[in-house]
Amino acid sequence: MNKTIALILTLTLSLGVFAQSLLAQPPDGLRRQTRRAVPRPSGYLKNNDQIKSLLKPTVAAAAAATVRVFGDNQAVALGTVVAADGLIVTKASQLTTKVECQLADGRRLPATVVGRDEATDLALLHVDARNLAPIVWATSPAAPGSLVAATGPGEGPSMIGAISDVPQPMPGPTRRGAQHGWLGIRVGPVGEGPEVQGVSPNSAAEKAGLKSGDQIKRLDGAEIHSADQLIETLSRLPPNKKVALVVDRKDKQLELEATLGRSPGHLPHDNWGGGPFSERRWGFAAVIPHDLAIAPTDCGGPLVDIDGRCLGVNIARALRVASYALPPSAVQETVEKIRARAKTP
Amino acid sequence: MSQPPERPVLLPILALALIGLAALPAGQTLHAQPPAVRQAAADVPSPTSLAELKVLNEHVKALVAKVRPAVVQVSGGSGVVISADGLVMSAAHVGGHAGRPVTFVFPDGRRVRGVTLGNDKLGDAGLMRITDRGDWPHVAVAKPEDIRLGEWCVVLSYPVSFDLQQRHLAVRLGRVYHHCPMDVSSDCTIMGGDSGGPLFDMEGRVIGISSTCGNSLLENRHVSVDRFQQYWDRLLKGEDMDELEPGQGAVFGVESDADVDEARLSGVVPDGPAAKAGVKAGDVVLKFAGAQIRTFQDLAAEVRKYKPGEKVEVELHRGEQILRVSVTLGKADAK
Repeated sequence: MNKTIALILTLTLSLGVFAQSLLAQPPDGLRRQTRRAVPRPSGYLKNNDQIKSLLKPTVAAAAAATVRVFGDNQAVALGTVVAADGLIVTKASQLTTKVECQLADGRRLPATVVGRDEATDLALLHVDARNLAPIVWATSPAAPGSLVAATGPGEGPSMIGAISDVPQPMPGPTRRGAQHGWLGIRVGPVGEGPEVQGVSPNSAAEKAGLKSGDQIKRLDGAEIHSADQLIETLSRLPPNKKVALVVDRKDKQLELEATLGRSPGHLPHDNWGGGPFSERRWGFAAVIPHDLAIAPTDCGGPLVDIDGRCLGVNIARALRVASYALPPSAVQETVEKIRARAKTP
Repeated sequence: MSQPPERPVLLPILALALIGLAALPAGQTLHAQPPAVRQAAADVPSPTSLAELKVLNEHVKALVAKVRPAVVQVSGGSGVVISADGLVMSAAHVGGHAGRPVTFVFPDGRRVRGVTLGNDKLGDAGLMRITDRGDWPHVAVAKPEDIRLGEWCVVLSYPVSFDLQQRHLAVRLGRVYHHCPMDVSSDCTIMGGDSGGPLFDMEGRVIGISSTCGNSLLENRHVSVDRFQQYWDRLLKGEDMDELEPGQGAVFGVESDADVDEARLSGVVPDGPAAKAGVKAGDVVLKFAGAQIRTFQDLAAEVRKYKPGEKVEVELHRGEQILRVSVTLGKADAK
């Protein structure tokens, strides 16, 4: 039957009436429902181009202090210029080797890592540039409900939203969700077996050569008939395991081998969708929660208020509804700490 | 970016809905004119100046400070106090069933006792009551006709986070992009724990109660205040309402696979009221008794307002034609 199944999966939002512990209670308390999508004209949405363009002039200075950070030629994060002589903060855990920064003026320069700080997940980078315009920090925190925006390098707001709450510690769950094997694909139950509908960059699936449109037939020896079954099979396999895959691609059947990655700390919290999320997303002494859906590769850039002042540096895309920013004091103290450490032999 | 494989976007669910089984006695709406489904033009256009955004910014901050004392945690979800004597709006899937003792936690940490009242399983509307005596902080509830498309709105409730010791009251900003008698949809992003929490308009009135979300960050469904109004007396009496109440309601006698963005019928119950009136599979319902129909869900909501035996005009789209038929609604248990 060649019928498009355009049902939208929705999950009910409570963990269940009797849930005592969020982690002790896996998502069996969730109720899945099917509901049809309703039209979403962009003119009704907060993140429409017209609204974003209104904020362009006011966030221009912050955009000029935003850089794109590359690791091995891949865009891995944003960075925020903190000193005119080429000092930039970014999200440390996103960095790989060969770090480069593309400044707001378009120059792409090699960067050295001055140092890293585990507690904040900030890294301090240095590029050989002078007379950069550093970010202007807000002098007081913004009240919950304040309108905020994220900027790109030299670009006005990429999105707008609101501060969700006052700065708070985010210790993170004491028991992590069990980490298991990770392919890095999106699947759907169209046609016979589960069909690959998207492959994450750098994932085990991409390295194995999986492509969108592939029908997965076997995984690690097990016959696969449905998306649910694929997920269940995968959840029982450990990270780093080599697994054989059999897929149908057009008229051919292919055998592939994948080395499974590690699930990024998958938690029941993640069953509400809205990802992808940062790998390092908890364990902070103080963060400002806000509702901008910052991509994991766009962390490290500034969070600005409606007057263009920088309220903090985005450090994690955490949950469906939450991203976290480090407050200016935490960023400034970390920069000083790293600089002091770099000076001592 | 791709989603992790743990969570497929699509599920092999075939939703076959049969209209009319869930019908309830009419005449409980507080407004004379049933609100039509509105989707055409935004009632509230996007701001056109930075000054407008700055006014909005100040307004939202003040509004959040004003309404937050009335937003409570309850049963792993959220709720909102709407009267000084402690009536609480929440979601049916948070309340569960009537008469259950619950504890409410206010933003200042105060814990008070209460009980669940009625729950509407289909629409997910639920009421509760604080039983401890007090003069409780509370907010106003909007009328259905107050809900405007494009209007800015704020979700204020208690989503789960990595902090397992406590849930924090979090603010999310968005705009209303859909409104029908059952739902309000917004781009105020919600997730687990937000269930039962209020969606406020810019007057600080409750316009919806958070219920479900889809994978898209834009897909956030709140039970509309229309739905609460429709069943208000029964919810208040502590009635638990399931979607199937045979014998009570009117039946139209049509089916849908729920896979299209319109009220296209996949089937017509043989010899049912629709079939007798000449409705055919493949027809798209445009209007039901004068109310505009966008989706099958809208149609179901409209049918529910009528009693068996009532005669209604239905406007259909078939091929190139627009047809009007007159249907005498049937009884749920009479097939």
